[in-house]
Amino acid sequence: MEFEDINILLAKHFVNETSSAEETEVQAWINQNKEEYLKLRIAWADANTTALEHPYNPSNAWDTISNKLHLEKKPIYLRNWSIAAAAILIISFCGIWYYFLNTITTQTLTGEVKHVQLYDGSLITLNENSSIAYKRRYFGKREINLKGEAFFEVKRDEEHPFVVHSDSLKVTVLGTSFYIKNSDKQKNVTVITGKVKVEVQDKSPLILLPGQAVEIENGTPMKKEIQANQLAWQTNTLIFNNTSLQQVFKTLEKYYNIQIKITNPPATWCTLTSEYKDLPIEKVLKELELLFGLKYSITGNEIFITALTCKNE
Amino acid sequence: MNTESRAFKSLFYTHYQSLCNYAFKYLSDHDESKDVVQEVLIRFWEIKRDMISDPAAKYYLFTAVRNRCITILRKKIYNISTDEVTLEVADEPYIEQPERDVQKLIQEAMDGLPPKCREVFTLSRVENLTYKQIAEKLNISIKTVENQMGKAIKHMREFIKKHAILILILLLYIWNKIGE
Repeated sequence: MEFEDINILLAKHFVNETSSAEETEVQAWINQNKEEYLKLRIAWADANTTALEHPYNPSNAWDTISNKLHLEKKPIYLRNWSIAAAAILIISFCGIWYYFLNTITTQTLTGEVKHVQLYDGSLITLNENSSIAYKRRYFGKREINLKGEAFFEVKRDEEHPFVVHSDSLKVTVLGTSFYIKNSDKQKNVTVITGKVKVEVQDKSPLILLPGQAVEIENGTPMKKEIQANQLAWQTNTLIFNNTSLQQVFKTLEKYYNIQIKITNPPATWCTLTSEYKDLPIEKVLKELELLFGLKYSITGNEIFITALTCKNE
Repeated sequence: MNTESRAFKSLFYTHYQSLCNYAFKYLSDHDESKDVVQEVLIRFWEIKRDMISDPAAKYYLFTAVRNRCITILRKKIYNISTDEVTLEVADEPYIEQPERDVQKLIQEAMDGLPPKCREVFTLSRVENLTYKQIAEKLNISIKTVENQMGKAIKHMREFIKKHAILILILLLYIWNKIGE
């Protein structure tokens, strides 16, 4: 009977139906049968096939556990750092890329001449009202875009051909000095040294040698002999070689930006052979005075010439 | 978060609730159950991480929770202070689903109860009805319910004695660990 009783009490104990007196009795039994009670309690739980569904909050527990094990935070820091590092790298790279490959534009105003030295050492002299665009560094070709008029002294570098684009005009060189004029009125390429290839759109290319020039007329390149003093603005030197005085005056007008008025026009056979380097107009006129016995007077930018006599006469 | 941590998080979210409920069956205490589950999951991450993607990880976790619960029950029954016992539950060698087999055996044993007894037992254990509710439902006296439940306990105790060795496989191991 007592045996039966303890089973009943144990059952009540497991389902929380014991009175406090009964509970005391059960505890007394447990103290005497600890190991058996343990096994019974485990078996009791094992026999319970109920799918208990007490709601335990996994989110809170996960926060605790991931904090303890540094599962979420540390990698996030790491990730932030790597994002920051990557961003810095990309920005620096873009900056460097932009610095080297950014197109630089240089332009001149009326009456202004600029000298531009490129990364490779090539020199460009830009005449007034012109502009060039180029990249600070180059990979492959050295490419320049030109508007207007410029003189090029190109450092020789066969690996990197020097190419000048000017509208439909394409000028390719290895190393040389040449001149390009691309205005509405006149399209002209003049070679001083070296060898230059000139292409106009799909026309067959022309090879220019020193002293040769090409004039583009109606889109077609035509070879021409070099015009003396075409490059005076760049060289500051005026060269006259058996040049008719009429032509000399035209050149002086253009170079010094003056107007020459002559009472008696010179004869066509009247020529000049001379060279003027870095000279003001007055000195040039002084020499002409000696050579041709002429008289001159300067008013503003106008020059009046009288009593011109040609010695050859 | 790396792949491993993500896999662990997913494992955690998949099993956390059922592990807690499982622990509760043994401990009848929500806070203790949560502590056990947290402890087991931490141990799992620390020493069984390579198992994360293994389907057996689930059985490992349930085994470890059950073992840990048994340890806690033992401590309570034997009045061992928590400070004295630091049991590395998850350190135990992994045995494939032994507790499942024991559980099945017990469950089968309970199926072998006389019909009336089993009916009462089921209403109590599976449907969680009180003695009073069972008595009303089956139109019997509370005393009868008590007697039937007592019979079920008797049956269970006999079963434990018969299968002592099987059940003890794990228990002994844990006992040894406590004795250390």
